[in-house]
Amino acid sequence: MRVFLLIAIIILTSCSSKIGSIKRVYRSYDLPEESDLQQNSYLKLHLKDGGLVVFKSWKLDTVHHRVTGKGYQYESNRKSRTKFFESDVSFDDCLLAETNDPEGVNLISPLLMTFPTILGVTTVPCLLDPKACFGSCPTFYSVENDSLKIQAEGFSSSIAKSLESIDCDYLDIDPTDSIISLVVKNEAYETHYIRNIDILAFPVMGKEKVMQTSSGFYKVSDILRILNPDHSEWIQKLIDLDGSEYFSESDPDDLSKKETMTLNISPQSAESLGVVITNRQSLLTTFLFYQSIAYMGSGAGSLLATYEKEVSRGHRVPVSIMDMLGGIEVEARINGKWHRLGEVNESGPIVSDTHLLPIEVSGTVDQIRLTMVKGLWRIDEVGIVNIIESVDPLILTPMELIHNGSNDLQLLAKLKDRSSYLVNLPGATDTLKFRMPNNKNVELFLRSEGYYVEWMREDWLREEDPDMVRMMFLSPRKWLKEMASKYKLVEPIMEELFWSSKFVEQ
Amino acid sequence: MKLYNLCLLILASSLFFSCHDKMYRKIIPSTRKQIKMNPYGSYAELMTVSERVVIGEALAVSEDTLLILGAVNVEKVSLKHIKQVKFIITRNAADKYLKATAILTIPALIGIVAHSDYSGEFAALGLVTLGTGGLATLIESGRKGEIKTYPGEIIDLSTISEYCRFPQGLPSGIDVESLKGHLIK
Repeated sequence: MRVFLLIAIIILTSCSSKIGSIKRVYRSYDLPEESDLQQNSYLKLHLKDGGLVVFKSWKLDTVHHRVTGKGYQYESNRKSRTKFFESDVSFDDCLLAETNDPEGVNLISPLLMTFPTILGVTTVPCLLDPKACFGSCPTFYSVENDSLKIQAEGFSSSIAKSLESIDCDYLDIDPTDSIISLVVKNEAYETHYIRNIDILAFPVMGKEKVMQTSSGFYKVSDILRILNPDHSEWIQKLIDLDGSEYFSESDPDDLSKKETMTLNISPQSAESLGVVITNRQSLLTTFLFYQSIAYMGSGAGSLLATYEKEVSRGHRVPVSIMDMLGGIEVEARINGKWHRLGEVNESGPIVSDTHLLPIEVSGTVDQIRLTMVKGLWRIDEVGIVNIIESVDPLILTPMELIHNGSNDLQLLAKLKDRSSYLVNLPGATDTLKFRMPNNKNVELFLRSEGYYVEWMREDWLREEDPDMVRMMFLSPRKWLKEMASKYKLVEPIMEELFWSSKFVEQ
Repeated sequence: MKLYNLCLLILASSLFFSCHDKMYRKIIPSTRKQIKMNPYGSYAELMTVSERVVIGEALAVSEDTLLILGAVNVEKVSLKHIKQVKFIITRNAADKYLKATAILTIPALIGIVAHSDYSGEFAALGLVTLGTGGLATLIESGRKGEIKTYPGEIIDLSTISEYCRFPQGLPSGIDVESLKGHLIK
């Protein structure tokens, strides 16, 4: 409703604007006396023979009674136009001079027009390789004022049964009601096998927050910002949790090439401190995943089945591409010496999540160092927090599951039974309702467990390439170098196109 | 093909067709640069006292006669016989925006047809392109061009030479019959 109102106001405002012009005509010999004339960048000289000279830039030579400059020359029929770089016209050859100043500036429609222009142009590379532009993961939304707000993507890296995992994502929900709703959507050509979904609730006091580590949850307070004395633009993006993300481009020759950034903090005792990072993946992993399936082509099913079988038998499988890319390695400088704190490995390009890495070394900490693959991560915030204590959650299980508009007890039972899966096909939408605890001040996390299977697309089969599959498994570093140039073609536009596509409601 | 893809195709096709019948008046400047550079006279719509309608580019005022370059030939109308005249000096760029929107939608349309697996995604891109381009066109179409009329803003017909291609009068040696009109398609 508000959008329509805004559009209506814009249109009404624009309707009242007029595209005018102020035309001034002078006799050529009067030109030197026209003091305001120099302000006009364009000057038209009407020649005696009916020709016209339009100067884009010009100078008046009052001594020799000439105008010199750059512009265009037209004959009397105006059909032929000559562009000249430097020309001069004598006052004797012209009768009148003319200037036209536009009036009524309108910025709205030209600015608005830039959006379809960018979108239209950037669609072209997607025509050559559409799988590079579109993708998704199991997506969760909260319901706020009858509209959906994206909250989390579940088990993004669980692309096969053997990779089934539990994923925890922070929920940016302020539970004012006793019941909250989460909408689970399958917005891609995937089959989602959801074993379990619940909400972890942590009662907190005041400005306390809860953050997750790889081993559990901690109550924290007092975030300490990184320093930026030189007002560096890229550091500024990391200071606040504001959606402005640090992002670097991938290496043009090697997608596994890493970068390191060192950040300063006010020196202080490392006791009870932790480094906090809020980040998400770029679309590099999405690109590589889809490209690898395309190379597998008609053999993708059997290759993945073999992989599943080998894993279930406990056999060693080749190093995966995702392992090679790795996460964000975090180090802290304590008493002048670097100590590795761990690695942040949040999967998925849709929603950022916050991770805590406790500093378990005593001393004075003054710097944080991050090492990661170039172009793989989008980082919103890096900081230091004070860890209060580890905490255990209240586990909230769904009380209702609404499918196709009605309460579906059977599906709810499936979701609650850990030995079975709720299976969602493309386009499926389920709404889960949870009863909130009595505490008014709670931090919420979504815990989802399961895996998903990507559907093979007809388009992808055309790219079947067993050699590239072999290289991917046996020489992953070489494969990442091979893929660098392909990714570079779509890297600048992937993010924009992804969010423009139908998959995700922002 | 899904219904919304079909709608997109119909919508874009209609844009193309609408572009074609808007090509007249293309000499009337619409952008700031065109307003500054326009080498032509204003577009004139004139009615004589005998109710004859003459339209075309205002060429010159010569010996109390207004010369108008029509689609076929040059019409000469004595200033005394002019009942009313309208000079269209500027116009909005809505037709350009419409054409640009149609062209920018082409990649999405090709995507719908060429990549059936991704037709929904390309349709979404196409609809966003059409939506924003359409809104820009709608806003632009609401802007009014500058028009000078007699009787009205123009009080004295002897001043109308400034709206002509040759404000200095018709230069000697010009064969007006050799000039070709290009206003109406």
